[in-house]
Amino acid sequence: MDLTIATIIGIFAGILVGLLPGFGMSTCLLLFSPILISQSLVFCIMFYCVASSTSQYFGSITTLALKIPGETTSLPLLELMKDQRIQNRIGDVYFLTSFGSFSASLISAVLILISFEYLSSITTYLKTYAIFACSLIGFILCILFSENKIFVSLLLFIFGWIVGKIGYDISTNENFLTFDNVYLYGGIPTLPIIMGIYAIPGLFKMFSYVRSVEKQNIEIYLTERKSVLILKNWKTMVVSSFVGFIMGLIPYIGNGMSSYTSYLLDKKTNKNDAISNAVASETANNSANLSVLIPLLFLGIAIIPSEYLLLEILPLGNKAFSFSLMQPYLLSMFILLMISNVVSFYFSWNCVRPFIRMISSFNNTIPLVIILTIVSCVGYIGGEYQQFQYYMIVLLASSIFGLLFRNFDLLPFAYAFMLQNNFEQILYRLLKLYF
Amino acid sequence: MKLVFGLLFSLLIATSAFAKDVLFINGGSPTGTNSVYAREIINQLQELKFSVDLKTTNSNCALAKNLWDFSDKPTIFVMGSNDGTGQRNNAVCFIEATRQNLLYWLNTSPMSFCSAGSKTWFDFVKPGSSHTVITMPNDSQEKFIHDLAKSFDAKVKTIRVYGYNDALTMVKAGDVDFVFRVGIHVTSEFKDKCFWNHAEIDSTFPNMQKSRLDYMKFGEQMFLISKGFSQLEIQSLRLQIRNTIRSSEEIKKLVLRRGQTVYDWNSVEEHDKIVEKFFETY
Repeated sequence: MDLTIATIIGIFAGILVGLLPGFGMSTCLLLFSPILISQSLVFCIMFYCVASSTSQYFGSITTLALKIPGETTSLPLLELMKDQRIQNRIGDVYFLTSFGSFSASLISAVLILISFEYLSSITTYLKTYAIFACSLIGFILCILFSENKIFVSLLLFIFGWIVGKIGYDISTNENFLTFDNVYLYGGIPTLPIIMGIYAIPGLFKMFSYVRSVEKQNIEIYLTERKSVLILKNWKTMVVSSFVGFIMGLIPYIGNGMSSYTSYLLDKKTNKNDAISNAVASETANNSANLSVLIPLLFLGIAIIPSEYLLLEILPLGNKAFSFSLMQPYLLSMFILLMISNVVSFYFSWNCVRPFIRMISSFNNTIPLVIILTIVSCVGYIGGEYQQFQYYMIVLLASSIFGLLFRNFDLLPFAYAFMLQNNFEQILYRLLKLYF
Repeated sequence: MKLVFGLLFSLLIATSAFAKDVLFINGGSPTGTNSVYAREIINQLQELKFSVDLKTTNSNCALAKNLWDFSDKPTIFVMGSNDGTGQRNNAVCFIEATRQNLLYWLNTSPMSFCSAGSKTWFDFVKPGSSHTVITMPNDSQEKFIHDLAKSFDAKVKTIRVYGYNDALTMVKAGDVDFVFRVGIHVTSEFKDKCFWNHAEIDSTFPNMQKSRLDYMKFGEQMFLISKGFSQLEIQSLRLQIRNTIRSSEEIKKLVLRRGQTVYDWNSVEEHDKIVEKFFETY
């Protein structure tokens, strides 16, 4: 019963995380922490697994319908939205990304279930050199295969790195470009940056989009039968599920880069198939979202920020993480997770039309609603940390940057910004360990 | 004595029973250890009719210091010696605890030296042996481990890691041999694998006493500082906080889980002695 309630609340939370721009899993955990503190360990873990998995289905809807990232893993899909082939077959993309997400969850969950006896003893993917190698490959791919010329990508990457480095590094006790400003000292926050460079410029495009939606009488249709679409893309789904699964295991870096790595790999094999690229990206992030749980479930290690937060919340209710406590519930958890995926798949696919209809009924007011939602989310989180004005200034500055560079692929900037700190830490550890 | 103390306590409670705005600063995260103490103490303060405004800066220690420096109302700050505001070498954040502003010493956690895998203490002290050790990003702690290894003719590589999760990842990956960190002696990963803690260095390694001034400060002190309160209010607050720590189930669980030591007291004289002890290790 405990697990069923956790699943229901988790689905609800996941829908919120996916649909609300900027409302990530970390914010969700903070919001639900008063409930989670008083619940059992399995309840908390089940809630987290379901919410995290559900968010990926609904994050794609926000990205496809509103052209703003529901989750940071939706950034490649957002880039693909510039492609007219995606715009012309938006119904197919909706369906295939939802189905891709579902198949990825199924494949990953089965992989975890059949190999869980060995998972606690396999730790090679946690080795410092393995993390370093994977992140380095990810960064190189990010520069070489973005939509920009290589030197433009490199410049954007370096700029992202510098912006990400701003602040005080507690490990080295050094300041970088803080100019004695107390806010800069804490670093540039991720949420307003990502919202600024992607969401605000996206709103400008939305004005023309809502008008075209009105003219087209919002027809979200499939160009072929569902089974044909699935058959044409099944290879992409399977390969991306495995790519995402492996990427999700890589601490700090993997989950964030899973969709991008898969997207780039698919672009190499299916160069002119934007639909396949979109499916690859959205399938891999769901797969990674499950495999990222492996170190948490089997070793009690958090490898992404929301897991850090979960491990902080658990002890507040006097719950210590222990795999032996979880083991008797594994099968029930697996079944409920699959049910939640079926429910998410069904609702995400079926709510696309009403969602688009709602957008068109609001017509030109919808961008205003979205901008208010974004500003509220950013302002709320900033306010929680006594940094409301700072978050607003960062949002404004990054929005200007996003608008100025709206015709460039900003993924090299975004990934360098988000992963710079982790990569520097890994590099430091690698040098200390092996040289 | 207890009767007098009880009467004094009642008097202080009565005199402090008026509405007063208090700023409570938590320089840590909204879900960390500091937040548990903040929440429990604030609950007590609210019963005393204080109107408390909690500000959590989510580990931006410069912002926390800024709030402290520019607060013009009665303010309480919950801090730890390993936080940015507690580190002397952090010029932008450091706030000095003094006899004037120290409100309450909440607890201390020992820094333990533990095995990360199969290596034992005898492996560490074997002359000519070579090891990797995780330390906190702290120069004196790193130097101590190097000096200790040198005294046994052993070689050591130290890796500075701030977050416990990052350290645990390296341990699970088998990247390191030993870990020197605060509070790990009670965790399931290191329980029964710890050899000594900083408070035992005096007796375990008499030859290291030249570094005594450093290693006495290796433990993590968690404490409250305050400003803008009258002496009477401070006495009242101390009694309230003591009672909170004695009675709060949440804090008791936390203390047990983190292996912290709490210093209880029954009189002003006893409290003064504890304050002296605090400044010996601060």
